[in-house]
Amino acid sequence: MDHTSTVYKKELTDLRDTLMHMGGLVESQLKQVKRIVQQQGSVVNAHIALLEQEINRAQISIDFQCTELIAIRQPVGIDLRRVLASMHIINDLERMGDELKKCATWGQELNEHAEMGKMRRASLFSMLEVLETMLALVLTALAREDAAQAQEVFSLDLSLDNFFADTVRAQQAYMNSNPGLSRYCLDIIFMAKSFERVGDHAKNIAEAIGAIISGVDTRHQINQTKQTN
Amino acid sequence: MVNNNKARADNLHVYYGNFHALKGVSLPVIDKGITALIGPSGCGKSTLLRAFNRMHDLTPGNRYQGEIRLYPDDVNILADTVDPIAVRMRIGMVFQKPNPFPRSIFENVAYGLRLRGVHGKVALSEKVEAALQAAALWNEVKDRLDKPASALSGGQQQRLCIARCLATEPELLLFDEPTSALDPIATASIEELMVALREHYSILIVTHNMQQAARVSDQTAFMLMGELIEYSNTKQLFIKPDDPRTEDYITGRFG
Repeated sequence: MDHTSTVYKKELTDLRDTLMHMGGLVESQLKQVKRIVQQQGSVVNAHIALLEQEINRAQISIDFQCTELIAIRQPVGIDLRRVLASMHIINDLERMGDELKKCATWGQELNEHAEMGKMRRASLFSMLEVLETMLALVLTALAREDAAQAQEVFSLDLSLDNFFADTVRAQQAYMNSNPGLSRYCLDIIFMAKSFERVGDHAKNIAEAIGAIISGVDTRHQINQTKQTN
Repeated sequence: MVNNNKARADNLHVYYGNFHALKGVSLPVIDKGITALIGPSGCGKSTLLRAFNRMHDLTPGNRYQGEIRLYPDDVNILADTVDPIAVRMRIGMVFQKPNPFPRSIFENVAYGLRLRGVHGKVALSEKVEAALQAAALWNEVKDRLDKPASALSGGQQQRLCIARCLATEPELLLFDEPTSALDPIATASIEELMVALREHYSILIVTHNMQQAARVSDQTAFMLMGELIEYSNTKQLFIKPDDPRTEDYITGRFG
């Protein structure tokens, strides 16, 4: 049912639109990082830094939108849950932006060394592909407010974690036999760790979407279950 | 099982002649707490509130079906055998617009006490002061108790009406949009008073101001077209109501 106040409705629509725009910026960043990992461009680093600044600005702007909505509209029910979830989601998107910016730097370093060939980067490709799917999934779920769709990222996050563990193991072994290239191996490990963190943020967003629909906070439940078992 | 309710409407129907205003409403009124009734105009919330005071008896053609039980004695106050005046002696009511009697401040509070047989000057003075204290009005009026109540501000008049109720030590207080005629400061003082009163009284309040319901009440009931749609803990109802009709209403999606 439509909001009785058209102005309020527009404010809520604007909030959703700017949130989606911010998500789109992170998606662009991820694409650029993929190009770096695929050694497809050397100028993308600056582009990623600009995107990160734009993401930071979007975070501040959306935060302000939410503050205004709370102050002026005193949202309740689904509107309150949307505003609160937006405030959580922008923090996750901003952290994703930070991680991807760091990845761009490490990736660029990696590209400086010809010996770190495609074989060494295979797991990074795999992680990036999973991340792309996760981010697209969670942003679509956000646009549709589809908690079931958002939940699909949890299983993808498990495969991301497995890729991360595989990458660390492989790079450790490579470092033992090629200590001179440790610096580059560490870059790969750092990138893999960042991708793993980006995956965690996608999972946080999925939980925030779930909270919009159900009103139930499911954060840390998986960890708690693990601890009690 | 311990009964934490002061009163309870059970499958209550109210008819205004042929108009079926309340359609089988069941609502607990918690003891020593505030229960808020919200809903759009014409949803039946004031009808429900007034049934607790047998006010519909005053108009011929109105009738009740179902029960309102008052605890701890578990009496159905709508029963034909129960005198509506006796019911109103146990239940206090505060209306939308402050309605002090055209008498002095003192007399407004003392009136109900006299009806109940309190006549001694000292006893009256003590009870009037206690009621004015409880209504957070004493300090503002103690030096002008003999002045006309009409000289007080709107917020003070409403607190005087609350003091008038409290003087007779009612078991249940009914508030029918008690702050809709008041400015924000006076509204805040009445809300503050309600929160203080819930320590000792059970309050049922009808309000159009949803934020007021959210601020002051422990439990909230949402009504629509003579039916109770949802009754739950106030915080829960304003964060994640169970019924989509409640969610539409509280978020302003009422069409």
